[in-house]
Amino acid sequence: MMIRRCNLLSHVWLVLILLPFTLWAKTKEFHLTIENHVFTPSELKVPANEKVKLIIYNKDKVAEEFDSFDLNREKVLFPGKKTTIFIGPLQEGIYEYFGEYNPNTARGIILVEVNHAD
Amino acid sequence: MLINTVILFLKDLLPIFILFCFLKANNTSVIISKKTIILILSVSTFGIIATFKLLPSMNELWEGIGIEVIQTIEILLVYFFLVFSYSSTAVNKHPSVSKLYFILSAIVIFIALNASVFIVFLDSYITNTDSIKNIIAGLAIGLGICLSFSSLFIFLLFWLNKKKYYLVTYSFWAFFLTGQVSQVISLMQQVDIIQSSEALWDSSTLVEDKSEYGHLLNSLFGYEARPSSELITLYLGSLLVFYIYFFIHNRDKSSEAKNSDGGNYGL
Repeated sequence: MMIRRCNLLSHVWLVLILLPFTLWAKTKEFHLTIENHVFTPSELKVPANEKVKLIIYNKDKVAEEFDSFDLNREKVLFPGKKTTIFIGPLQEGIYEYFGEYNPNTARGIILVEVNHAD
Repeated sequence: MLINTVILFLKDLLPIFILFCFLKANNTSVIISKKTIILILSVSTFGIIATFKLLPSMNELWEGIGIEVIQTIEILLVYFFLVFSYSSTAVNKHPSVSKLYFILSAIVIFIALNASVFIVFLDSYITNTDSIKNIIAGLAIGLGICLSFSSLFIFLLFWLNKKKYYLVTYSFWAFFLTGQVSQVISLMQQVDIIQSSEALWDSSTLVEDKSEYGHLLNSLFGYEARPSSELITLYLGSLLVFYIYFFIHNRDKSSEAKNSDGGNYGL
């Protein structure tokens, strides 16, 4: 009886521990690149009401800062490195972002769509 | 570029100026010797350079969430050090030596945390452009604005203290530190440690985050045009801690005063 209860408890713990990882694994990934102080693609489509993982590659030789007041995100992109930011769940709409060190050239939008095709 | 340098100067360095205003207004500077000030400046400079050099490596830690985790720890350390050491200074103006060490540690961490990000920007501009003149002009304007604002703010704090409006001064302090600690929510949401929820309201039609006033209000009390419920919860929780601390401290102080000479500790 005691052994069975221990087994049951260990299964519950296992589920509780693995659940966040399972949810995390399902997060869709989207990629952005900054090169010559320009983000590509300049318009990125992501699904609405869903958390997404944004992976940004900085191919420039200097640092840049990804900044978005709409998304409430701000992160330094170091040269030659990739950076991960989680955004959402977001409502349908257009969300602007820019490179804080070169705001005139490094600009883009994230288009959040309800009927998003992967 | 000029405007950008000014905006980043205000965003990254104005909070340091505001912190020094609070320290000056509550006479903490009087009990800190010149030797200690030199020590703070030296350790802070070392901290800024070390953080600046280590930031790319920190970025790689724990699958790319290193900077956010480390910055969160630093912000929380500054918060707790200042809440439980400097807040009593703001109330009774007599910090003990042990509390002073916590205050000094908090100052160093706070300077390194904010200034290192600005150095990343400067490094990026200087290595990338020939427009040094614009950068120097931007730095001069940014410094001028920060010094002008600090002068006015410190005048206001001195005036409030002179009039014995300690609760108002303390509220400024509480809102400033709460604004600083509320940044941890955005940091944690950014790397998915805390879930993001939708904004509770949108006041960007009144004051936009990206405007000069937005930056100023953000430095003063952590203003955000579209705050999430997590941020508001932390904000209110932090303010509650501050006011409970103030009223408990004030009650103890009043009873001490009554026991000794029947005096009253005014708010």
